[in-house]
Amino acid sequence: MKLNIDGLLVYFPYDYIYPEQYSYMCELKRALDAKGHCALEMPSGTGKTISLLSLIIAYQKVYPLHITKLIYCSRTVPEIEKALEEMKILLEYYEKQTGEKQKFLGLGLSARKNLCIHPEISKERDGKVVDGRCLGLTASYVRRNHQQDRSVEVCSFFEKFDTFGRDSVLPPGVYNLDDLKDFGAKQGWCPYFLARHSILHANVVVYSYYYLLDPKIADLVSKEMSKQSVVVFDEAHNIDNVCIESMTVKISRKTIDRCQTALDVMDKKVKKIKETDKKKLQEEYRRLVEGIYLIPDKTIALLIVQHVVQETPMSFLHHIKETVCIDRKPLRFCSERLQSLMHTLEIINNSEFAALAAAASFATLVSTYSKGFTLIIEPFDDRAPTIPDPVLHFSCMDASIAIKPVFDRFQSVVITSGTLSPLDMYPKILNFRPVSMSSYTMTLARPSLCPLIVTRGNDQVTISSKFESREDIAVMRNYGNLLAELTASVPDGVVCFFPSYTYMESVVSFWCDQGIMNNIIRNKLLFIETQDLAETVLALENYYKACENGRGAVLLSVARGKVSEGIDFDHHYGRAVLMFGIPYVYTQSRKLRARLDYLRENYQIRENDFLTFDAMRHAAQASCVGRAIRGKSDYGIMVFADKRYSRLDKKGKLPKWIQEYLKDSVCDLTTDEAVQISKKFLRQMAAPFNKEDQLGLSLLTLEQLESREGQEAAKLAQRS
Amino acid sequence: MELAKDEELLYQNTYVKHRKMMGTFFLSTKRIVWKASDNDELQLCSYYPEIKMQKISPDTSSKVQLQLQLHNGNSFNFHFANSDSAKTERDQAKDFVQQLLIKSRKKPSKELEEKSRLLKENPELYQLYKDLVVGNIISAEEFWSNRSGMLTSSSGQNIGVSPEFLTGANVNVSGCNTLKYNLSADMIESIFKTYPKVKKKHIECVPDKMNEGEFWTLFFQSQYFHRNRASTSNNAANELFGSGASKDFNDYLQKNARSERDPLLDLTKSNTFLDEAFGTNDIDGQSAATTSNAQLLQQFNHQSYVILHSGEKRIKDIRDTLLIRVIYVLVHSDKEQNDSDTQKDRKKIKLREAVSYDELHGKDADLGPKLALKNTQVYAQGPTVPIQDVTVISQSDVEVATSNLKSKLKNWSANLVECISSEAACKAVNDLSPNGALMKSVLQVNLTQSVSQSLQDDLKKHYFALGELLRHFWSCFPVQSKGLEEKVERMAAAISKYKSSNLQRLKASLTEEHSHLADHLLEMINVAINKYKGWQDRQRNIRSR
Repeated sequence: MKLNIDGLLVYFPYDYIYPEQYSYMCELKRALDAKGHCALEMPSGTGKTISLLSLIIAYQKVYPLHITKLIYCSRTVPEIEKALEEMKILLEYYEKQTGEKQKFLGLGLSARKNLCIHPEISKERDGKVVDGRCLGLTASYVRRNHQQDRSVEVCSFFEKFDTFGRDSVLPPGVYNLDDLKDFGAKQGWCPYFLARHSILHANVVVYSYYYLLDPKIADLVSKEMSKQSVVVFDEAHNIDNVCIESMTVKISRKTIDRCQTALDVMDKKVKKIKETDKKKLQEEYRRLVEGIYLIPDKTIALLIVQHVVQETPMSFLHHIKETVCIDRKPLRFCSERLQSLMHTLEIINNSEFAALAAAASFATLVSTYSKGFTLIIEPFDDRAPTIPDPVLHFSCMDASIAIKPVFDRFQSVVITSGTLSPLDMYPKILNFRPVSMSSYTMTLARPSLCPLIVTRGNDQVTISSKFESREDIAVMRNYGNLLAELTASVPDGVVCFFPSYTYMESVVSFWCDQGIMNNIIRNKLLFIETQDLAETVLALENYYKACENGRGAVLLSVARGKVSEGIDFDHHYGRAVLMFGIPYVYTQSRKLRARLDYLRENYQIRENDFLTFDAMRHAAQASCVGRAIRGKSDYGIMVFADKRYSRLDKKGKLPKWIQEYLKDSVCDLTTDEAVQISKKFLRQMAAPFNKEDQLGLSLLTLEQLESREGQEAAKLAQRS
Repeated sequence: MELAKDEELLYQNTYVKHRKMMGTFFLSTKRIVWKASDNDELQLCSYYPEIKMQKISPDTSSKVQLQLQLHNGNSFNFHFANSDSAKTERDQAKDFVQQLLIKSRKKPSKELEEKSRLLKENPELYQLYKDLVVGNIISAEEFWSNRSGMLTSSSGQNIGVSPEFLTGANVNVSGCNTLKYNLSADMIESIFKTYPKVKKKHIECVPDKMNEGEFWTLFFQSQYFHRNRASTSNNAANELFGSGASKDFNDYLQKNARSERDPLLDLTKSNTFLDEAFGTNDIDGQSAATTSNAQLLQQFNHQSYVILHSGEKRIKDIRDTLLIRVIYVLVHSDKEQNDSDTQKDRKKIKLREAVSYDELHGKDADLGPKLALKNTQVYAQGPTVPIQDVTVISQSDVEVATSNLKSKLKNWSANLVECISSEAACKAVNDLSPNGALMKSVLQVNLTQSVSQSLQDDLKKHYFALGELLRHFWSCFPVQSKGLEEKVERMAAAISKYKSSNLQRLKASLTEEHSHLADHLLEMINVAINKYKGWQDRQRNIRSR
């Protein structure tokens, strides 16, 4: 349908629309008009991505000078591919409606590993190895050597791209990773470099957060993006952690050792070159080498310290100057110089020099940023205080540092997710001023969400994953019984989340010993997320298969694990989602403590507020957000099994659209009661549900939208 | 040593002593033979079903020996005398014998019983068997290959495995330190289905080495049963099952690492951005799978996996046999390309499914899947090559006939005015029926009355036998492989043989008035032989080119 959003003609590739999609687009339009940033929360499963794409692309078409490019960032490769697929649907619709081919280029970009078509390198499974080998074939000096000596191997795809592809433009269309590969294979061009080159003139670019947030990569990839771009961070509830991760360095003894070997290699090379060609080794490089040499020495000196040290970068620099006489300035360019040195020395294998690169970037970071970072040196592992195993953490505490350039540079940055509650937290921790912030609820024709808070077992013992009571036998048994009884009444897939791996392991083994496990596997097949990624993927696939063929299955997984982040459990893949306990972070870690202190001092965020916020977003993200619900005919049960969820401060931090259904009557349940309620709910949901029941309420046609009732329904959906 | 027709030599060793005489030791698919090297007369021969078990000398003994014990109480000792490699040779021989013994034991017990039961219950089948197999027209294997459906269908419905099959073994604690497990036949079946290796062991060990009870005791002590035990304390159980369960698990990981991944679930693709030493996570990945708890999780995953897949195999087998020929013809030409294509297509469909919202679509969007045919002709006519008619109708004949028919149809119209009344019509029909007013003179000659019972049976027998032969013959077309080619030739020979011997005999036995009864049989044979000749000519043409 063609929509009129505040005077803008928007092509929307479906015949019906959810009211909240309409209001979402209105709000987004306002933010784009104001050329400002915004934070929008909308329940997942209500078509957030397509609304975003429809509006921004329409805007781009009408005002090509105001917005030149859309940069859409997502977390995982499957999510990137999904976004591109939605864009394809949209473009197909455009073409059908207008009857002409659109001059529009949208493409995805991912790591070399996912795009390489070189017959040998693409077989490698490790991303680092692919990067290293690719560099080994495409670095400029390798190619120069190839000119003189044909036996030096280069990548034919890159060569061909370099000769023919640089000046040409990708034909219009939407390219996902496979399409890029196909096109590359057809032309004989390297898809990775083709994509890197094409993002400069593409209308829409879809890639990972890191390409914008990690300063090391952002400089390489996203430097030339135009300022008039709109940046969208989808699934952004975790964005502060991404920011922090990209600037946090950990240097252990192992890293230093590997640095040392790398330096030795380099040293030999330098000497060799000195003998053969004195000119090549300029004075500057020699100085730098010395500079680099000193870092590990110094860090070693620091690592010898026997007690835990925590200091600011300033005092660290001062310390360095005192002990080894290196100024701040050479340190600052350490990373850059290492790059050029390796280039001159023709050291190809970058993957082996990773440790050295890490040390250099550490030096750069430590001398560049004075605020928002902390240095923690732990001389030994807390679990084994007698064995010296020094680790130096250079930890970023302020998420706004990494994202600041993005906010400063681009005119509109959209932060959106299914869980951004409480909304005012994000502007605080990311330090930006949004022009609009909204949270939308889900308009439903029938109550297809069933959140339940289970606080007690059948024996009336309070259940909680609180530190004091989590190992309590009664609690673990009650968790087990809850799962066993739910699996008996819920069809198809049931997903459970635990606060941590260790807790999950101990609970599972307890269930096993006590025979509770037998009650569970009597009802369904059991799959468990493990710390091994490949194995987890396998377990997931089989879980899906078991749900698909009607056997039904239980998936045990961890709230901060990989599964909780990128996998959908819609429809029969997750009829019930259980959250055992509240997934707090490990609060005793020094890094976290430092960050909490920092937040309190600088942003006036109370320690407890932040911890609860963090735990609840993971709980909500993992259990409900809706990974269990997709579309309005879907339905699901969400069980929060912990006494503490019923408290107001926890409940208040769940997304609004879940809170709406958390009536007082479901906030203090025993296992039995929860099972009864869920049985009744499932019976209700099993009744036939037609489109006609939804029309006008939670699903609108164009006419309804245009009529005033539709407008009102849309307004109702928007609260805040 | 002379081999029978369907026998194959698997192993031979020329340095083997029996009763202090040097000789050669042969292993074929059917029997074990030892022949003295200096005396042609002297030889030992025993078929596998006769052998009860084999034994080998302990490692410490000076002679490397292999002993065969027969069911009738006799036993033979073989001494491997090749000084350098006696032991490895003996072990090799032992392994062979072991496998062959298992094979020989499995087959007769099940299949033969089944077959003989079928033959007993079905006299027509028995007659056919006698005619074709005993008459050496086709081999027994070929005979049964077409009837595999009959063999398996009697084994009943395939039942899935319940996830709790292991825990379902009721434990009774009786007295002190005694556990009693109750195993039902269903449970044993489930265990065999989920762990084929246990089944193999069971066939190997029971009942020669141990009895059922001992076997299952060991099973319950092994890793298969106790998921959370890293290594069992019981040595015997370990010896029997090895670290079977954990090995199974590794196999499964490896097998699946290579297989195609669901694009939406593949987490391994992501997160290659952070450099080494960057990031906040404190856990090292290497700790996985070392602790017993982690192993427990793995075991659960694996067990669920095997249970999930135990049911799949059979369904797939059946489907395969049904579809294989159709698919072969359809896909055969561009198979390689298709593989990667379908994988990509599947991914595309999956992605599309994942992102599109059904609810938001209007009604017209729901058209259902389209049938995309690469070769419509094959779809319409089936995979067979069109059969050339023996009596050729020329193109013009067909055209004339159809045009005639068309014009007749065009000009025909029901002339309702001139219709006779329904009563009159009924009467006319009655009159024209046998024994009606107009048909009295016509004698209804019923074949069943005019032909004697024995002749009928005889004819029936011939029809059965010939039908079976022709079925084999026609099922070879289109001839796609070497094996089929051979079979066609064999079948054609068998048919001509049948024609010359059996049919001739039938004809001779027929009296003058019944001589036409064999005509139809002959006609069927002729069609087949013509087809065969046509095929041969084409074959020759191809070869000469």
